[in-house]
Amino acid sequence: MSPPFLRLTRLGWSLALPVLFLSAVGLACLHATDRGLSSSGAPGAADQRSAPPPASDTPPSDLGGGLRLYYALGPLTVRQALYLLTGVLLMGLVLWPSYQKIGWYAYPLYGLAIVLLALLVLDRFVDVPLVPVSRATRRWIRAGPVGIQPSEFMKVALILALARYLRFRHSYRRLGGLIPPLLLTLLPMVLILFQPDLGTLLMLLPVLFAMLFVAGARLRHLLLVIVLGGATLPLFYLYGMKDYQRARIQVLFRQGTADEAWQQDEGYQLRQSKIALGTGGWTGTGYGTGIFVQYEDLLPEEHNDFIFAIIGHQWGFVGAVLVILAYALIVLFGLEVATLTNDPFGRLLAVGVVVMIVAQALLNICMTIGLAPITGMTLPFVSAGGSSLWANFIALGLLLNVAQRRPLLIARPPFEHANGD
Amino acid sequence: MFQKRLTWFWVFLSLMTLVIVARLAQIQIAEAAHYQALAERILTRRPEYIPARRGAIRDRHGVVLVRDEPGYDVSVHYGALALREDYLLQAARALRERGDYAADAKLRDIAGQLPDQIESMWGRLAALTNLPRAELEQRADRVRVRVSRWRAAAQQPVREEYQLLPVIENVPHETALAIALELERYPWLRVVPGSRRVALDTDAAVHLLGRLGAASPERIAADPLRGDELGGLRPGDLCGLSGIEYVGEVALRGRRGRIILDYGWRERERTDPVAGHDVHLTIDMELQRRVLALLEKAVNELRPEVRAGAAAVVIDVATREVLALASYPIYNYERFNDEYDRLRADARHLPLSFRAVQAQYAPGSICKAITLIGGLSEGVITPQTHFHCTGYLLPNQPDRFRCWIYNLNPGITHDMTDNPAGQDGESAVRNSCNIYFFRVGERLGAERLCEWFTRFGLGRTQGTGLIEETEGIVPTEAWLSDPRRPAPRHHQNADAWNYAIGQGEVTTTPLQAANVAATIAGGYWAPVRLAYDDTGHAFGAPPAPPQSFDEAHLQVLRRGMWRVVNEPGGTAHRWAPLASRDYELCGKTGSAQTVQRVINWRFTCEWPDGRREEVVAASKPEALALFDDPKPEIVARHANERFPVLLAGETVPAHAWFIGFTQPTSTPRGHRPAGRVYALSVLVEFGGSGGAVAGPVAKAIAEYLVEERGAGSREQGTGNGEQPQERDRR
Repeated sequence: MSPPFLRLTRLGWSLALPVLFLSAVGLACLHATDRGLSSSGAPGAADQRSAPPPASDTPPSDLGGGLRLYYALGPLTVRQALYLLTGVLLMGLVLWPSYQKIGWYAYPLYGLAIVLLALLVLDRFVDVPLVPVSRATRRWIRAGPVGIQPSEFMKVALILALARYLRFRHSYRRLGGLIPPLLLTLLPMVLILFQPDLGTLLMLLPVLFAMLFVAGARLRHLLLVIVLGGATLPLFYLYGMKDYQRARIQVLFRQGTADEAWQQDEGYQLRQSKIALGTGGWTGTGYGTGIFVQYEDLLPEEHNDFIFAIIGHQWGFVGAVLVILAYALIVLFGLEVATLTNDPFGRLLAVGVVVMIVAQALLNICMTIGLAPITGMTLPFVSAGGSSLWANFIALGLLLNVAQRRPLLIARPPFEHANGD
Repeated sequence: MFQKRLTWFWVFLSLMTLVIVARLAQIQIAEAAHYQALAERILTRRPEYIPARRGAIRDRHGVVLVRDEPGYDVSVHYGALALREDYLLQAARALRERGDYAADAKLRDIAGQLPDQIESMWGRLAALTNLPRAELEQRADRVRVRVSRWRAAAQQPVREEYQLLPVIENVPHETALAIALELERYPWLRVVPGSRRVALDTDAAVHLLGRLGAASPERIAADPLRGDELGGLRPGDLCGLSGIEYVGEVALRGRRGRIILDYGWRERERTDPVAGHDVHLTIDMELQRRVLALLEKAVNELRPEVRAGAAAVVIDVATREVLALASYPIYNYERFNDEYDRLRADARHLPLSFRAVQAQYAPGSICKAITLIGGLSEGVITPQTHFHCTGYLLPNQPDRFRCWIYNLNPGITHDMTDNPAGQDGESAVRNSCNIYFFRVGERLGAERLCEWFTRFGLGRTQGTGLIEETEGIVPTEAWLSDPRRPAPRHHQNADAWNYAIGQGEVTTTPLQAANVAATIAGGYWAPVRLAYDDTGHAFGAPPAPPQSFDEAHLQVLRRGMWRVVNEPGGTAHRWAPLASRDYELCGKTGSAQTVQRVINWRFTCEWPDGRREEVVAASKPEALALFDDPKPEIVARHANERFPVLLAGETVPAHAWFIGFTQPTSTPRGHRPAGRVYALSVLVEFGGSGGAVAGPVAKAIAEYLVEERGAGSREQGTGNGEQPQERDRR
C-alpha cells in the first residue's frame, strides 16, 4: 500500500483541478474588481480606469517590494490568496489523522461549535468580548485581524455529528427515529436564527435531508417532514420574518415588474446582477473590461454573494457554465468517494461534504439569476471570505481523508436496507 | 440501495443544474439585448446642460443695447427638491463612492439621512444669500410646481426630474464663491455660471428691445428648432417674449452645451455651448433718444388732464429701414419686474403699450393722401378736378360732415379763405379740405377706398416680425359684415365719406403711417426692415409684395404735401418748416377725432339666486376674480371712469398726427426726392391739432435728421443692410 500522499495525488487530481480552477477564477475576479476595502480609487486594478485615485489612497512611492506587490494585486486579492493558502494548510491538517479518529471527536466538535454560536446569541443580552455587531447582526468572533464565522464551521461539525449519529443505526427508518437527527440540526439552526443569518441557517437542511436520504430513511417519512416543514413556511413568512426578509422573497416574484422605484430599491441587487450577466452575453466582456468590473457599486456585494454575476459578466455564458461544470466535477468526485468506501461513517461524511458544497453553490447561483431569494451566501472557493473558505477546505480535507483511507471492513456494505423504498 | 439513492441524488442535482443553465441562457443569450439596454440606461446619466450666452442686441452703429452679463445661478437637483427616493439613493451612492460614508454603509441608511442634510443646506443657503428661509422655500415650491405641471402635461417623466434646476438666479460673485465652497459638497447643489440680461441705458427703446421670460409649453411646441436637443427650447429656458428678443430669438439663443456623465460621475462627453449671434437693429439709438425726448416734451406741453402718450417712427425711404420706433411713456428695463403691477394698472398712460406698432388710431386727415391717390388712379378725379368747399357736405345738415375750418369758425369755408373757384387736389391736401375728400370718397365708394388703403399697407403688418405689431383695420365689406363682429353691418354712404378723411372704423398704427409717408416719398410701398442677423439677413416676413404707384399722381400729392408745410396757409406752415436751407419737409397733418378711453367699468353681476352686485374693474376677468365660487354672471357693464376727463361742454381732443418726409431743397416740386430721404410719422394722443402739436415734433426730428445726421450724404451704418438687392425693390 502506497503512502497516503501518493494515493492523494492519484485520486486527488480530479478534485484538485476543479477546486484550483474555482479558486483561480475567484482570485481573478477579486483582482479585477479590487479597489481596496476602504474607498474607491485605491490602487489595484487601477490601470484601466481613467480617473487618478485620490491622493490619500496613493501608496507611497518608496514602498518595499512586498508592499508594492500588495498594492499591485489589491488588498482584497492578497487577503484572499492568504485565506486560500491557509485553507489548503487546514485541509492538509485535516488529512493527517484518519477521518475515523476525527469522527471520535464529532460530538465534542459539534458541542464546541454550538458553544461558539451560543456566545453570539449571548451577546444579545450580555456584552461578550470579541463579538462585534455589524449591521445589527452578530456573525463574527474576532480577535485582532483574524475573525471567524462560527456558523460556517457549524456546517462541518454538523456533518460530522450527523454522520457519527447515523452510521450504525437503523432507527431513522422509523418516523420517530428521525427526531434525534432533526434535533441535532435544529439546535444550530435556532442559534443561527438569532444572528440572524438566514442563508447559512437554511443551508443546514439540505445537508440533513441528503444525508438521511442516502442513508436510507424512508422517502415517505422524509416527504412527511418536508411537507410538515413546508406547511409552517407561510406562518414563518407571515410572523417569523422581518420586513426586509419578506421583501427578498417578494423580489423573486416581482423581478419582472416595471415599477422603477421598486427596481431601484428592493429589486436593485437582483436587477443589477441580471444586467451584469445579460451584458456578458455568450463570451463575456473580457477579463477586467466590463462596466461592472470598472465601476464599483454598480453591483453590490460583487466580491461575495454576487461574484457569479461578475464571472458571467466577464466570461459570459461559457464561463458561467464552466464554473457550474467545476462544481459538477466536485460532486462526481465526492459521490465516487462515497461509493468506493464501505465505511458507513465515511460514506455519510462524503455525501454530507458534497451536499454542503454543491447546495451552497447552486443556491448562490440561483439567487444571482433570480431563482432563489437573496440571502447572504458565498460561492464556495470563489467568493471572498476567510471562514467560508476555511470551512470548505476543511470539508474538502475530510472528503479526501475518506478517499485516501478506505478501511478494509469485513462487513456488508452499509445502508443497503433490504426493505428499501 | 445506497447506490440507487446516490443515483437519484445525482439525477436531482443534474436536473437542478439544467434548470440553472437554462435560466442562464435566458438571461445571457435570449434577453441579452434587453439587459444591454438597461445597462446603457443606468450607465448614461441624464445629461447636464450648460446655458449658452445669448447674443447682444446692437443698434445700427453697432452700439450694444442689451447683452448678457455673466452671473451665477444656484441650481438644486429636482430629486433633492422633491426628496425623490430614487434620487436620494443615487446621491447616497455618489456620497459613498466619494468616501463620505463607509464603504459598507447601506445606501438606504445614507439616503435616510439625506433629507436632514438637504434641510440644513437650505438653512445655510438662506444665511449665505441673505434671503429669508421662507423665500427660498417659495422658490423651491415654484420649481416643484413647474416640473409637476410639465410632468402632468407630458403624462410621463420629464427630463427636468433628473436635473439640476436653477433656484436662485443672479447670485453675486462673492456669494456664489462662498456657496460653491461650502455647499457644493452636496451632489445636489451646483453653482452654475449663468447670465443676466443687462440693458445699457436703452430705456428709450425699451418696448422695442422686449423681454425674456420662461418658455411656455405652447412656445416650446411651436419652436422652430423643436427636437434639436441643444438648439431647441426646453422647459425652464428663458426665451424672448416680446420685442426684438422675440423676433431674433433663434439667432440670439445660441446652442447650449452638454455634459454627459457616466455612472462613475466621470465626464463621458462634453459639448461646449455656442454663444448666440448678435442682432443688429436698424434703429439709430441716438435718434431714438432724441425722438423720445421730443415726444415727452410734446406730451408734457399738453394740459395735464389729457396727457397720455405719443409715438413716432422714422424710416429711411430707400432701404425702408426703421431708424426710430419710439413710444412714450417708457418704463425702466431693470425695474420692470418690480414695477410690473403698477405699470399694468396704469390704464391712463398704458406704459406697457408699444404704441409705435401696437396702438391703433383713426388716421384722420393723413388718410386723405391715400384717398387722393385712389381717386386719381381710379380716374374718378383728375388733378384739375375742383370741388367747392361748402363748409358742410349735406345741404340740410349743417352740423354733420363739416369741414374742419367750418367747424372751428362757423360760416367760414376754404372757398372763402383760399380759392372761390373751389379746391383742386393739391390745394385740398394743403388745406386738408374735408369737403373735397368727401366728394372723392363718394365717387370711389367705401370698398374701393379700402382697396387703396390696403395698397398703402394699412390693414396688414409692415414685416417687422414683432409680436406686438398689429394690422390695424381696413373696414372692407367682408370685414364689416363678418358675423363674428359685435354688430355686423354693410357699407353705407356715410362710410365712404368717413373713410375718405380717415374716420370711422379705419385704424392705423404709427408704423403704418410712417410707411405711408415713405411710400409717397419713394413711389412704392415695401415692407420695413427692423433688424438683421449676423449674415445680413433681415428678420421678419414681408406681408405682401412691394406695390408701386403712378408717379404722376404721386407728384400731385407731393406738391400738396410740400405746400402743407412750406406755403403760408398750409396746415402745418406755422409749426413745421425747417430752418435748414438745404432740406425741406413735406407732410400731411391729421387731427383724428376719437372717443374717451374707458379706464374701468362698472359691472353688474348677478347670481343664479337673483342676488345682484355692482363692482368696478378694468376688465371682465378682473371683475370675476373679485368673487369666490359660485361666480356670478355679468349681466351689464357701464363705463365707470373715462379718460381724458372733459370739462363741461368740451369735446374729446383729437389725436394729433403728422406724417411726412424730408427732401433736399433742390428737388423739383413734387418730384421723387433723391439722396437720403427720411419718412416719419408722429402721433400725440389727445394732442388736438396735428399741425400745432405733432408738427413741431416732426420738424424737430427732421431738423435733427438733416442737420446732424446729414440727410444727403449717406452715413455708414452697420453695413449689413446695405446690399442693393435687399434694398431696392422699385
